[in-house]
Amino acid sequence: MLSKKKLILISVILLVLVSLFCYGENASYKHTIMRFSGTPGQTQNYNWKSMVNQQILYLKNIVNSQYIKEDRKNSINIQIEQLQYYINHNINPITPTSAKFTIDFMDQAIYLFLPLLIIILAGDVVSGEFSSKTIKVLLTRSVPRWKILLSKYIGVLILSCIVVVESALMCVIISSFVFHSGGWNEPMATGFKVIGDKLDSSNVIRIYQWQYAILVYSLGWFVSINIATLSFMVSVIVRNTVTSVGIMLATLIGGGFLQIFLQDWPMIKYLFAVNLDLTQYLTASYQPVSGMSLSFSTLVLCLWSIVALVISFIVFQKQDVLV
Amino acid sequence: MYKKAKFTVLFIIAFIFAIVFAAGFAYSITITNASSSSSKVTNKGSEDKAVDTKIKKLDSNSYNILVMGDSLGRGTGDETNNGFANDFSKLWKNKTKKNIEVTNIAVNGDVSSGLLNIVKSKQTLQYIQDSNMIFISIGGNEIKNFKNSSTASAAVQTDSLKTVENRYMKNLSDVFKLIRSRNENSVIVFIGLYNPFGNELTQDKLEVLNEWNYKTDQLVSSDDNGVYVPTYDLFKYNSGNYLAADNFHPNSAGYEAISKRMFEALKNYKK
Repeated sequence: MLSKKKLILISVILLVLVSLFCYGENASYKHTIMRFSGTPGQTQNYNWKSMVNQQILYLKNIVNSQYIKEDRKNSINIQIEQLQYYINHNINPITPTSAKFTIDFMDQAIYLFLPLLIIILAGDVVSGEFSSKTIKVLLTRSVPRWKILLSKYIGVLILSCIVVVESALMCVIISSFVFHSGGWNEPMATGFKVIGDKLDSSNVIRIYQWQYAILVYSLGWFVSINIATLSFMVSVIVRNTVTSVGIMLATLIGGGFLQIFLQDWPMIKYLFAVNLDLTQYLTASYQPVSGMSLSFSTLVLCLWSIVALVISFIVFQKQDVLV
Repeated sequence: MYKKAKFTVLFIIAFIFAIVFAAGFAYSITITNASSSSSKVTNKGSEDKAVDTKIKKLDSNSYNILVMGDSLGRGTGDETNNGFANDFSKLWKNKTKKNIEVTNIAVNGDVSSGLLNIVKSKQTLQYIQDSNMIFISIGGNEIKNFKNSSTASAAVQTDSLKTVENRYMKNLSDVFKLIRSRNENSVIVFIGLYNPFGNELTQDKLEVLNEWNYKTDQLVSSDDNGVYVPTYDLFKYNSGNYLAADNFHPNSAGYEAISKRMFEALKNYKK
């Protein structure tokens, strides 16, 4: 019953935020167009097509040059294809499309906002029972304790999956409504890899925006089940909802701070809060601490989750319930 | 009953999406982790081979024009993608019975040191040997940085400008020496610099540009078969018509104007 109310709360938060972001993006787009065209009101009048054509010519020149390395050609070709897509579909490159918005939303949400929603959801699954003293009723049933905990855990997993799906749906629906352009079939490049301080683009592949969106939301899903597991553990250990949510929030936000202050400390990369920003690995935009990769972050998060699960089951089996 | 059905639906949705997400997640790991080492090794091997074996000779039955230098030589900004070299070859068509072949090895954004490196390569030297005409455009990328560096103190600036200029002159004379070591007769046409910034350029910067052009002119003209083609005057009052959308490179009309001037200079050149 409680989780239903919380789902509604999360839906409302998502609805308000996504609408706000959409509105903001649209407003800033109109502002940019106005600056380009000089006169207010005429949105389609500035000549982006010739600019894009120029860029395509320029990139083609680079590709045809004999002094360019083979592995760079691949990513430039994808760039050309992307620009060509804009021309063919008459989409201005700076137009916000719902595909871009949906991806950007998860890009930004994955390390703070999404975990926050999950913590709201999972922070009091067990501790809530203690707070409201319903745990006594639950434990007097002739069901083994681990079964009770497992069912609760599965419930948390289902709910976090629903939250990710819901945020994707909200983004898609609201942004298509506001922007009027999908752009789901726009080609884009991914598969960059950072080796040392160099960007290795020899394995760059071309995928469509909708495929990329699925990848990004998959990463979001992975992050959210890990966060769910961790908050689950905390809510088993702590018998007070506020404390449980507080601890999770503090570690989450504190982890982000630590990343700024302790950049040179190598142990920092084993902290779960530092490993949440998984989508950056798809674009290889930056490396928080050298030596981190998607598989590394995945391993670290999995390890944290497994340990958390083991702890929560052991604690729940052994703890005395005196209410 | 109703509540149970709702739960089942929720469960199924979550389950399906969990599978989709897990698949997407696995895929993300594979694409960010694709072992690049194997493909890289093969790449490198083929590159080395390419350097050894692929020294291409130009067809001696055609009239060969070689273009070297920066984006101007490339034809950046030209909507028709011709550049001055192809525009020129159209004009030159009646002057020769042979078929005109344009070989363009210009590199966007290149500076004189880059040009020198390219000229040193075996492939380029082979091209030079086989060419009837050589067009060079260089220097624009070296001097354009001085437009925005007004914040630095004047003394420091002129000082560093001097070093840049000296290096440029040294590189350019080396390029000429290298060309002449392989090909003594063909004409070398050097395209001078214009001012794409119009009135934005202050008077002292303009003087720098003019001096730069003058010194280049002297160096090119010291070669028996070197021709310096000025473009400064062409663009002075025509920058509105001759510049492309980026306000830096010429557009097709600009390139055509340059090629006409080159043709004018070479009209009575025979060979």
